[in-house]
Amino acid sequence: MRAPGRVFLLLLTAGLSAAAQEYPELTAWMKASGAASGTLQKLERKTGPQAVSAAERLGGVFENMIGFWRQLKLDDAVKWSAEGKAAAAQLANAAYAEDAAAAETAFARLGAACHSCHEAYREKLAGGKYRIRIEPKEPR
Amino acid sequence: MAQLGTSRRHFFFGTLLSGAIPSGGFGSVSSLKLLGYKSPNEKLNIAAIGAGGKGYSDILGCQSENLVAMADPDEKRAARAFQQFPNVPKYKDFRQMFDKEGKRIDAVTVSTPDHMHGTASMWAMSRGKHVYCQKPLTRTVWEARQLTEGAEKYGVATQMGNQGYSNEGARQCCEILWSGAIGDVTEVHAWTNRPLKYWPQGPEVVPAEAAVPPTLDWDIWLGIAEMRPYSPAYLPLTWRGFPDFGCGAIGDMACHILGTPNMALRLTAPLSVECIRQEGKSKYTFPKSAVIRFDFPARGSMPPVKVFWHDGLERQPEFEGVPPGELLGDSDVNGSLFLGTKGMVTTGCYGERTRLVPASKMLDYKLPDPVLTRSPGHYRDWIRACKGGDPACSNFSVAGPFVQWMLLGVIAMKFEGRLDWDARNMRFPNNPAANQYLRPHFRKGWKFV
Repeated sequence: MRAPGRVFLLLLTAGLSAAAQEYPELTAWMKASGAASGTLQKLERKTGPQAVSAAERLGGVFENMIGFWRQLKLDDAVKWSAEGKAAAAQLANAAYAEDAAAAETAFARLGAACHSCHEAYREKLAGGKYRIRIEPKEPR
Repeated sequence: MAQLGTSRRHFFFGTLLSGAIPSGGFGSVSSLKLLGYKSPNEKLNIAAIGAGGKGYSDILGCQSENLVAMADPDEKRAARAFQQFPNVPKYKDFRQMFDKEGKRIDAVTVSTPDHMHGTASMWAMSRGKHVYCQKPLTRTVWEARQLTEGAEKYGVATQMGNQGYSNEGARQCCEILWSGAIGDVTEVHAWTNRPLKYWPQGPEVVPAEAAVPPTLDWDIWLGIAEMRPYSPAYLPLTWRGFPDFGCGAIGDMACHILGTPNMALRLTAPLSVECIRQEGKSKYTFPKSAVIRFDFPARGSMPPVKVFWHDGLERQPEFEGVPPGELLGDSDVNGSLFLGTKGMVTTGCYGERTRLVPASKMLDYKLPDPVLTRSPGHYRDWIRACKGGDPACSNFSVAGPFVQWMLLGVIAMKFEGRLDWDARNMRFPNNPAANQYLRPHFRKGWKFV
């Protein structure tokens, strides 16, 4: 696995443990996206049915996260989730059309959306674990 | 039941909890309990009508509540649920279950084959039980209309099991369309790969008679349907292909795939329906594949719209204006496409992964602000309604009219040419022969309520 891929997977896995306990749906989505990203990461060419399926799962997760972050009124996270959803749709499309170059571009864009959100809302704890730092602007 | 911003029950109970109503006598917690209301912290006592297959997953979907009884005439199919809940009373016939356990039951899940949805739901509602009924709500138009009226009459909380109605993506789709992003929607296509690989339909299917397995009560399984010899061709699951028991691929999947179009386009009764193509016609089952067209009139500011249903597809359908290689719907050949005067939108099977077409348009697209409330989840939505919360999103006042128009497509497969639809009088004025399929025949010994 190449270095950027490892970083991407680490970010997702970190998001998994980081998801605050009071947001179980976020934990489930991080798990799902971690698994789907892991599948994509292993593919030399991110095309074909397996890549399409993984990209579709990611698209569903990002779509749900748009709704989640909207409830918390965190506009930047909503924006990153929307970017992730758009990138996942691009990736699914490119994988379906067997366009490996476009799929790589979309996968990188997808990773960037994850990274931006984790940078803003992920906090590293002692012992190497992470948690999501969510401070709603208004009560949920 | 009308969709209210705040339900009367919710308001009433909430007012009580806030101390606005005296704590004794009418309006007290004890008197409300006698009326069947539960606080959000109390658990519902739920009975399962149908415990195998989808029935099992419906039981798991309500795991936050108490499971107090199960009814299923097929012990083999229900074995997993029966073993997992050994102390829960089990019945073959839901009528006996109501006789014996009725006082303990607050609500039921109905997960039988399609032909028993209507009767089981009406039995429950008329006894004051809340109902979560699998899709399609009923097998016939008349039953769907009866359940719609029954839910209001008996004042119970209801939900049809088309979980896509609760999806974030389905609601994003509505908001995209309502924002005018693709202009006026004048045509919709919805498609599925079913029945392929799931259950057989077509001329090669012949229900050969066989001995009834000892684990099956065939008489109870048949329920309201006419008596006939048992055949392993009928079950499990394969009943979907037989018109006396199921509704074919459209009955299985249209409540999902056409759910978002129904919600977003505020579809009501169509003017007409026509099966414009079918392959693999059969004496016993629905055809191998079919294309059905529904024509809807203008609704408010929305123009008339043509809705096409395609089933039995092996690959994604092609449409003019869609770039070659573009993925529409889901890659497993289930999805929908909205054609507007300014663009296109596609969704997956359950309304999820909503996106503009081509998908590259999403990169620069800003989603409109939400105008719809979001669901806590399809089961939770219903459970909340059972405890006095707002009506669930696919309650029978919503699901009933939806299923009524969808079921017209099932009848259209039996006839050549267009069937005009007179919704008010519930009949096809240009084809009296088609009217016989609007309501079920009840076998002697069975009644609807």
